[in-house]
Amino acid sequence: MFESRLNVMKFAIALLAGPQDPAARSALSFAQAALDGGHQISRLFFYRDAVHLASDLAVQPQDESDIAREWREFISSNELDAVVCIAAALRRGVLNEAEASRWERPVANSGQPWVLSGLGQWVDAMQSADRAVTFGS
Amino acid sequence: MLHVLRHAPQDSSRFASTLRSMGPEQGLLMIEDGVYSLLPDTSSNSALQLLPASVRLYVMEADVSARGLAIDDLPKRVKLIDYPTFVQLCTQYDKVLSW
Repeated sequence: MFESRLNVMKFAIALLAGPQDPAARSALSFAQAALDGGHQISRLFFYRDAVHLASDLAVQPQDESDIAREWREFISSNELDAVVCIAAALRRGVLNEAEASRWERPVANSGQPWVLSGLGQWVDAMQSADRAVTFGS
Repeated sequence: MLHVLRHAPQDSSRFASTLRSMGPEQGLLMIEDGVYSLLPDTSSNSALQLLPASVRLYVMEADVSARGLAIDDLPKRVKLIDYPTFVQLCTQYDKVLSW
């Protein structure tokens, strides 16, 4: 069962819990370790309260860590596919320009590097990845 | 199969469900509040130690430290791991199931 050779794998990673949950940091630490270990991340999927990470409006006290910013920088610098469940995002008020305009809301609070899309993207990711790992369940 | 448990045993029925569904040769990794399953002199700690020897037990060291559990008190069969090892375990087991 335990192989010594480096087995490069494609990971699909889902996060279900919000920025205040320890799972948001666990998932980020795992994703960083996966890339550091030479693996690939085929997709990140943010669902349920995890969609709050995609809001550009949350402000953290200066002496506290800003997990949303850390995720944003991690995704951008590694050019990862970060999909935010659109249904979960809309009901929590996380909207990009297109959705704000479609639903006639006065402001958009999400954009790059996040992509709003459907749960089908997670199904797709699970089928094409070697391993699917969920955090914040 | 690698089971990943992040909930404390007293907070939900997930601890019991996880143990019930574990098979031989599988692994159980405790992260976040799941590390409370290993508090000394608790029924969850005893239940974990009664699992078949072929079941491997792992715990995230950072979460143990963050919650103030004494590493010296952990059962001998539990292996302390970090995130790179977590990733490695995911490649060694064919599936990862989060409870």
